[in-house]
Amino acid sequence: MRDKLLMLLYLFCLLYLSFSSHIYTLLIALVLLLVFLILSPIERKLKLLKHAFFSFFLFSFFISFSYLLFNQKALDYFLMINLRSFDLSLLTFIFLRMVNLYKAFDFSKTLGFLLVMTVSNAITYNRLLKDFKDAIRSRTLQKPERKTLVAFTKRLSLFFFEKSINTSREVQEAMRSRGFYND
Amino acid sequence: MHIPDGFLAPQVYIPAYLVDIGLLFYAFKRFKKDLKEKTIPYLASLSAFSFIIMSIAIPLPGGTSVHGLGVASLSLLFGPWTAFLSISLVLFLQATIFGEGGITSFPINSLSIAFLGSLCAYYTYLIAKRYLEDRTSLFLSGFLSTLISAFAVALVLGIHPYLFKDPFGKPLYFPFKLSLVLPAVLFSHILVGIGEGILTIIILRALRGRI
Repeated sequence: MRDKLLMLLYLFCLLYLSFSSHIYTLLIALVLLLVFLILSPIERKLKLLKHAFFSFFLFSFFISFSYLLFNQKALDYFLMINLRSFDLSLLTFIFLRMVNLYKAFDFSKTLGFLLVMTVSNAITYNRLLKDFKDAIRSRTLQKPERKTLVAFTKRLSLFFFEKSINTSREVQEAMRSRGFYND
Repeated sequence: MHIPDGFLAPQVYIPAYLVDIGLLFYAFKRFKKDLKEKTIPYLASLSAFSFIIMSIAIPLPGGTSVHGLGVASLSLLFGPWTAFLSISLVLFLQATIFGEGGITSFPINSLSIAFLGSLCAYYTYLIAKRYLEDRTSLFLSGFLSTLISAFAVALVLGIHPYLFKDPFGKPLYFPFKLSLVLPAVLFSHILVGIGEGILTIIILRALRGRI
């Protein structure tokens, strides 16, 4: 229940900040978010702050700064859009750290299982992909030729495709044996 | 596209969420009707597969490489609705669990990349293979699906300065107009489209006989 309530609160704050265009409101929201982050039991706060900053900074700064170059009187726009973007990113990152997303979505059994399974598969596949990349790096002294890279991509897609089919078959059987389906 | 939160107006992303959820619900019903109890594990595996395809760098002539989306490959292998579903799931996870891409830009990405991209790839291939050889049709399918997605995202971004401005005419959300955004986004996606076209040829040639 706690996770679902937090999700509702998050959605309310997200909407409020999205609609807000006043620099002072956005600045107060940023201060409140920072105070909340400092006082909260969240671990690795600085890392979260860095992650939130870099997730918005590149796009936001590039767009708003380019606009500022064209319109020299647009400093207030520059401040407003970067503040709003940072507020929303920080809010999302704090929410994601505080809430168990799987519990927040468990109002639907299917959606909950789908999220858990997809994430666990994605993490496993990502680790395997890293191993494959390390393997090709360790076996080629110079930068691999285009032909080698094409063959590598082919093998990768084949491997992950077959793994996906096999995994889905195994998981389906495991779910059936554990009574997930009501037959 | 990694559009951070704050650049899209709620008047745009809320209706987009409603449309996207409706389409996803319809796609899921279709998928479930066909696969029944295989639905969840199959969709989870396919989504993880598309997550990996998005992480693969495609070598381009000239020594550079770009990351593909795998939209055309998935659409041609499993059909546009299945591709829409699994790519949307990946985009959602990227925005929430992996913290890449905004929550407010998710429905725009899902509709433009996963929905429009998948449909465009599928029907481009269907039409092109009547007149062109297989390899060219596959390339065109990947290339055009990328450009149509980029076009849709640029369109959504570019309408913001016309619709949302303060009484002094200053923009409240994304600031650049269509005349600037459309060419900028489309030109920058030509290379990505070429990469996606090559990826589609590679994946389809490797996997087509195995379904």
